[in-house]
Amino acid sequence: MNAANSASPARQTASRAPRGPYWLLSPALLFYTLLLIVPIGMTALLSLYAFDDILGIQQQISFNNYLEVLTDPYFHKIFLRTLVMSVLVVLVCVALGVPEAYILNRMGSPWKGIFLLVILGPLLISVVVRTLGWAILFGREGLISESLQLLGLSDGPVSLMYSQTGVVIALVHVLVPFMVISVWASLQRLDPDTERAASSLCAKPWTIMRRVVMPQIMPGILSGSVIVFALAATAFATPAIIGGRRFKVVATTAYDEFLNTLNWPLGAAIAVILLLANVAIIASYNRYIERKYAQVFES
Amino acid sequence: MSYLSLNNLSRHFGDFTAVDNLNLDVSKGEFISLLGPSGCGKTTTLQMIAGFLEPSSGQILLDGEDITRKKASERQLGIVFQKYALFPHMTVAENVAFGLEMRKVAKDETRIRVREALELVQLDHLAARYPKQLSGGQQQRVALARALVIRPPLLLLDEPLSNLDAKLREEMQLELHKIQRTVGTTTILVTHDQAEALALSDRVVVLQQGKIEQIDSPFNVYEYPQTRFVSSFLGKANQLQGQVGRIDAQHAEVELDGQALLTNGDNLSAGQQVHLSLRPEKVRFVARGEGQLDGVVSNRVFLGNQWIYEVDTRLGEFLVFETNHNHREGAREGDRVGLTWDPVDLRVIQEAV
Ligand SMILES: Nc1ncnc2c1ncn2[C@@H]1O[C@H](COP(=O)(O)OP(=O)(O)O)[C@@H](O)[C@H]1O
Ligand SMILES: [Mg+2]
Repeated sequence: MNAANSASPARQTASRAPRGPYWLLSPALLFYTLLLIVPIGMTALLSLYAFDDILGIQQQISFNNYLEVLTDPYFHKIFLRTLVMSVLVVLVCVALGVPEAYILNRMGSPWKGIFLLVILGPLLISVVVRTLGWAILFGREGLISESLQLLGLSDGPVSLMYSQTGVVIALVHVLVPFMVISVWASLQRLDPDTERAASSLCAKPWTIMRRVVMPQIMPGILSGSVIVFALAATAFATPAIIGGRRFKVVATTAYDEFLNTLNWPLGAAIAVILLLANVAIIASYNRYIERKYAQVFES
Repeated sequence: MSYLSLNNLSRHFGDFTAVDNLNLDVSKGEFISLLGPSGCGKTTTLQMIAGFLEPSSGQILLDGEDITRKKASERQLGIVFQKYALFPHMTVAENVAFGLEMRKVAKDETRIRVREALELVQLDHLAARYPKQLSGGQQQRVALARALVIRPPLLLLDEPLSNLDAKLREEMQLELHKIQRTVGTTTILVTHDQAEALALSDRVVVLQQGKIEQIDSPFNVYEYPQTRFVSSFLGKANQLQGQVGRIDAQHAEVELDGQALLTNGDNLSAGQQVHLSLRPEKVRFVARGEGQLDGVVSNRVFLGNQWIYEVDTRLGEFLVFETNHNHREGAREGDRVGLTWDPVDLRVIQEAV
């Protein structure tokens, strides 16, 4: 009786509450429908059309484009290359971003803010401008090549242009702030007393890092990796400028199909496969993380 | 011979002096409380002993060895933190085993010692749980087991019970007392809760603004406060101020606003200005005119085991506690009453006025 009485007002508010907020969602919903769902739907539809060199796009539904991408070793190579490059970018971002976030978190008050700005600063500059900057550094007569020769580390001129190394370096520069932010967020939740507790229990600094700090910021590292991976795998401007035609990734290949070969349906099929592959990788990765860390981090 | 000595220990933060020339000697097996209001430097002191904070000056000796510049990881002390600071990604057993693992204790011995430590805090049935799956009290007991399993020469506790609710806190106080007596580890507890300090420790160190106000047994700090701060911080006190008048063999008379009150005459000289402290539970009601002071009850509160009265007197408001043992209601608001007490209970505080 008592319980029923106290429960019913709660239920009323629960059933009344949702309506207002749902209306508030409508502008965002409309925005997303128009700018995301519709183009993706159209791309998906386009990917099913046929293409004729003379007649252009034919509105005949078939999976031929997908078959072509999935069976041609040329495309296999490009997808594999994109995967390897993205994984490399993630690994370098982890290696640089985690210590960076940790040190940043330990800094005193004026420096903390200044260095956070330095790290996030690159996000304020257009990707194209930043990448062109790297292109200047990477060339045969670029700063890197000249310095290496000056230091005697290389006999002849070195060019990082159109190479995987070059693309990875430039992408890391663009994406490492996302890793830093993500790790930073999980460092905020880390109780510094756990590090002190570990050191009082005789743990050396490196052991504290490995056994106490790393496991606690792992969720931040993993979610940062998801963001960096997704952005690296779909990056266009950087691979286009630094990688060019010689180091083609999926995004630049789709672009070429659209604008050079004018085979829009094939380009669309590549884009859809990239999207699906990305979603599949990220979703399974997420499920893996959730399962592994569930009992530890649920509150 | 003292086991732990703090010699002229100070710590500054910029211009601010958090700990000011602290001197303390602790015997082996002793339970010491650092008691004081928030911000008085308790944590700072404890962190210097633990090795998390460098003293600005002074010296820390443990068992004859100077550990002032030793790293925290080499001091081998047991430390329990206010917010438990358990490792969230390890089970209870793994948490407790961590210190043994760092010391490269053999697997079999580790297992036995972890079980013993968890039995000591009555948590052996929860060894496989993660900290997040435990209540606050249970987490704090895991933290205690983790600190004790390494058999530290010194156990440091920083407000270990302040995150627990009142009832649990009392239970944990009793348990902490029992455990400390069982293992006999020399212990330093930091707390701002005077009841906790009195209940647990052999000696209480009362701190204010980084300075020691008094070091004494719980009974003595309460009964014989040496400063006005101590008398008001530990329990309640009626504080008065007056001038010493006539002195005879047993008593001295203190003049307050034309009224003379008797007190113990030790170490007093006529004409001296002194502070007086009178505990509310030492004051009794008598008929008007028969006590040392008359007044009117202005307010009363019933707490079950006792009554709290506020009485307006010509010396200001007096606080009176009366135990509820008379099978009747005590004085009412508006009653005109006399107040009396034993002259020895009116303590002179030996502090410069
Ligand atoms: N790292 C620090 N920098 C500046 N001031 C500090 C620092 N740590 C503590 N203090 C100051 O020192 C005083 C004592 O602090 P603390 O020892 O934590 O007090 P408590 O007795 O409450 O544990 C406080 O006034 C605090 O503001
Ligand atoms: Mg404190």
